[in-house]
Amino acid sequence: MTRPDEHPEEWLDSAVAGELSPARRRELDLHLAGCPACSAQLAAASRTARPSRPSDSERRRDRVAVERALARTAHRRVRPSRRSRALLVRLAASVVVLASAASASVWAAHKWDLHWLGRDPLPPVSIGEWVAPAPVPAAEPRPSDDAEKSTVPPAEPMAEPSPAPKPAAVARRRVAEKPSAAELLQQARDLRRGGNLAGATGVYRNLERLYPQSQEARVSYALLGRLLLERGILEQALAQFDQYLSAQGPLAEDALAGRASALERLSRSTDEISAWKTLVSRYPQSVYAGRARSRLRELGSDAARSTP
Amino acid sequence: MAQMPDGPNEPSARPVQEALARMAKDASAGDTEAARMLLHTLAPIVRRTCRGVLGSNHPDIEDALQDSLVEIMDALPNYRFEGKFLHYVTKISLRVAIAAKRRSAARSRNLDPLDAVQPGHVAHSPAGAVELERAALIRQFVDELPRAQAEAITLRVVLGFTLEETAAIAGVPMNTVKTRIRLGKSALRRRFQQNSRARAIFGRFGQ
Repeated sequence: MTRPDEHPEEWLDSAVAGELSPARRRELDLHLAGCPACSAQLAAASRTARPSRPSDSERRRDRVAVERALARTAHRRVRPSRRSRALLVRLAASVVVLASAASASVWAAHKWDLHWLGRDPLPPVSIGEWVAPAPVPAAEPRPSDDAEKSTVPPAEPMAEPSPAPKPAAVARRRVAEKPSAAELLQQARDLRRGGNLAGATGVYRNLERLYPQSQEARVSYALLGRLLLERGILEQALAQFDQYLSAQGPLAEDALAGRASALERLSRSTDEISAWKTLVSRYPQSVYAGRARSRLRELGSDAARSTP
Repeated sequence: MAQMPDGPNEPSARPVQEALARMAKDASAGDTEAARMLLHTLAPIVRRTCRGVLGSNHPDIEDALQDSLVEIMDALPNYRFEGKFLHYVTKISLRVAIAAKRRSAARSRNLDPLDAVQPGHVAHSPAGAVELERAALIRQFVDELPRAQAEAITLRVVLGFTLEETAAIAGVPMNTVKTRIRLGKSALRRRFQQNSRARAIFGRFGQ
């Protein structure tokens, strides 16, 4: 290790493992003082040996990435085998147990995400998307706003080519081109992120109409509720949130907050108080809890004073 | 230094790898639930790789994560379940992240050295700040290396893998990876010597 370009790779690994003799450590330190790459490597390896637990935000974003990746690869998967859910959960649980047994190891850093294996599939939703309103383009035409305010779902946004083909041909093509629920959800999200809120609304509606029993439709109730809330279509937003909250789901916390916000803007104070109280009682640590308590105080509710 | 759960000091590493491999096989066979569980397990590991390459505040990090997961799903049918599955995953995510970084750099040469600052790892001391700045500079200089060297240097210097792990992930013999690391580090050293900011940072280290 007399030349600057002789990087003591084995010594670096030994140093991280705590297996380097004092004499070699001194020699290594001399090299590190003049070698930014090796000193950075040693720092990185030491950090890697003590990985930090991912934040809640990262976990949420991981969930979004997973669902999007699944949606993007859905058409490439063959028909799923009828492997039982119980078997998978047992497999997942065994991974959790094994990972837990290695708690002293670096693998412990990944234990938390193995914990998710035993849980129900997570919905393809971004809380970040949820909390941060999508941008509204300044000149966006909103031809379907009136239609939105009616109770009739809008027409499917995928326009048919003209001249109109024969009905049978249309039907055949519709069957052949019918997008999956996951694809519709992704399409709606893309439209929403692109600022086309009306288009996104239409696609969410189609998703709920075409696949009413799908998990994607369940998620859509909450997402569309939020979108309608952003657009000020409050009664329909409320209906969407109620639809979502009619069953249990991982977005209940967000749907409750959305519902309360819609009621606030509709000036339905009594219902709003009830909604915020429900949110605080079910999710006292919610990110919306501060807002809930603030509103309850403004509305003069006792609940605000009785909760921390 | 062992980041993967399959190092010599990992008593449960092999069963974990086997469990993941079984999940991967089910996912490869088209089982959506297995695919979902597998990706949920892998996402934090892939994120760490992407963050190491791109920096935690890079605007493309979520896209890189998602693209990596898609690549992993696409690669499952070709995986022969002979090597360590997490090495395979890291290799894929590393390549996706490096490609994303280079695309991003091509779009804009305006690299922000602060992109190495990670939430929860913000420097609370001058030494910590220097470390972060140094990491950002290394990340920037790694972009300028040939792809094979960049991959080896990222695994070794940025992500902190051992030599054996680096060779396994890169899929090359140990001597090859040693050569790549040596050449890459020497190139980094030259870049540091040419860069006034880098010289200033390392001057603070007592050079």
